[in-house]
Amino acid sequence: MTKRVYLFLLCTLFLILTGCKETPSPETQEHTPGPLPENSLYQLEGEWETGAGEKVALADFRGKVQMLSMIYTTCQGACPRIVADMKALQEAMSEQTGGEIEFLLVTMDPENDNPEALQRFAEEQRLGPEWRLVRGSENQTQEISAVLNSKYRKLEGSTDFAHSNLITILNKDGVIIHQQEGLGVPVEGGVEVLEGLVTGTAPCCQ
Amino acid sequence: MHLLLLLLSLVMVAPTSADMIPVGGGSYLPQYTLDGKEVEVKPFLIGKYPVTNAEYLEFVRERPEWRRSKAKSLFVETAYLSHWKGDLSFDSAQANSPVINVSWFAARAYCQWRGMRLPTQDEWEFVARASETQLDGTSEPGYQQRILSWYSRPSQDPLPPVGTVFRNVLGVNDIHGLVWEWVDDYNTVIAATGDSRNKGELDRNLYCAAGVNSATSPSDYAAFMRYAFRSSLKGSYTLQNLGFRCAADFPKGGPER
Repeated sequence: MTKRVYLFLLCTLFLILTGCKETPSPETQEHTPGPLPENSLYQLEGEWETGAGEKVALADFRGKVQMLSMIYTTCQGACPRIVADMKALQEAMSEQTGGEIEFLLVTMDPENDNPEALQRFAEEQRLGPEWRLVRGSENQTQEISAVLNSKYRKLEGSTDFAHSNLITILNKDGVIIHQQEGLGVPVEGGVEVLEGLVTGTAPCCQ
Repeated sequence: MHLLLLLLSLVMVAPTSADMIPVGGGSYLPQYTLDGKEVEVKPFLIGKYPVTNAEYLEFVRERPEWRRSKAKSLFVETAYLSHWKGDLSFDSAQANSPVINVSWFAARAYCQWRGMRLPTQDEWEFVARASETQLDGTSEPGYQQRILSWYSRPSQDPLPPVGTVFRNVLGVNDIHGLVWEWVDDYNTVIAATGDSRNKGELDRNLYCAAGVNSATSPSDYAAFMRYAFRSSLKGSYTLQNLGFRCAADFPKGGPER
């Protein structure tokens, strides 16, 4: 018994002398994520493939503000315009905050959009490393579109899809904070949300 | 006494959705199509009844993450199973009534747990056309009117047991007259052409007079209401008149048409 007490005291002394190195600094504490909110998009399970050929979970995107859309790479009409709208939102942000957001493009055509096709699309659209293109299974694709309330349907006898044009903004925990529907929507609303999320100042968004 | 109980239990065998009805498939013209063409429905199996509270209880017993207190808000609204008394209990009189207040995610998880899936919209509509006497009852006098008059009434509270309301010629029960039902692709796009339409236009096509005009069978107002209803849903919605039944592909070696 007394041996244990001595050991304990010795350890305490050791810790004091070594300056409590085990105690996390305030900085690292800030980055330790708590439990994922129940309504986080990242509650969706499953493995996704990226254009870069990596396997990821949606929860891997936690920690940064994400701008997200569903696309398919053989899309000639709306998809390039959706991407352009996303770029416009970023460009309308201030220099400091614009670099703090990431982009996620989820294919609604997992059958045809393999990682190579996603990568090709990224190159054609000149998308930087802050853009991730992912595909899931048919099941995962249906689930994420249900969470986003983004509608799509493959057209009979065609490679094209009818689909919603929807840009979704997620906070750092993957909670949907804002959605804008349609093409060429004025950027002001989205930018205000994005700035608020990045700086943590807007009343809308934690 | 035991014998009596045994006999009683034999008489009162609860209907279960393990009863699957084979549907031969075929082509049909949906109320809304993207190209005005008939859709081919492959042979499939569909639940004879909507899934009941008792059946759903088996599911949440085995899959605690779908219990009322545990299910995540991304997948279910707060009204999820709100007609139950607790995580694992409900009014015993409701055992054989359809389970309601379940989201698309929950319904889907249940069917997957059973080794099945939700029916597609086309499969469901294909079955829903059948009246008591005809595979396609849509032009049968009075059939549409009966469905519409059901839609115009508030749903009964408490809901009657499954198998007591309506049975069509296929042997499928209560596809009309009891509760609305989830389909797997409730979230699909309806009545649009090309990829550049945004949802605003889709909604206009669906809800305004133009939508009725572009519908393939304007007289089928009941189907129109179903499409409009589905398109208003979100995957986490839980409603007190919305349940589901499961479907499955034919096992390999099943009947060929």
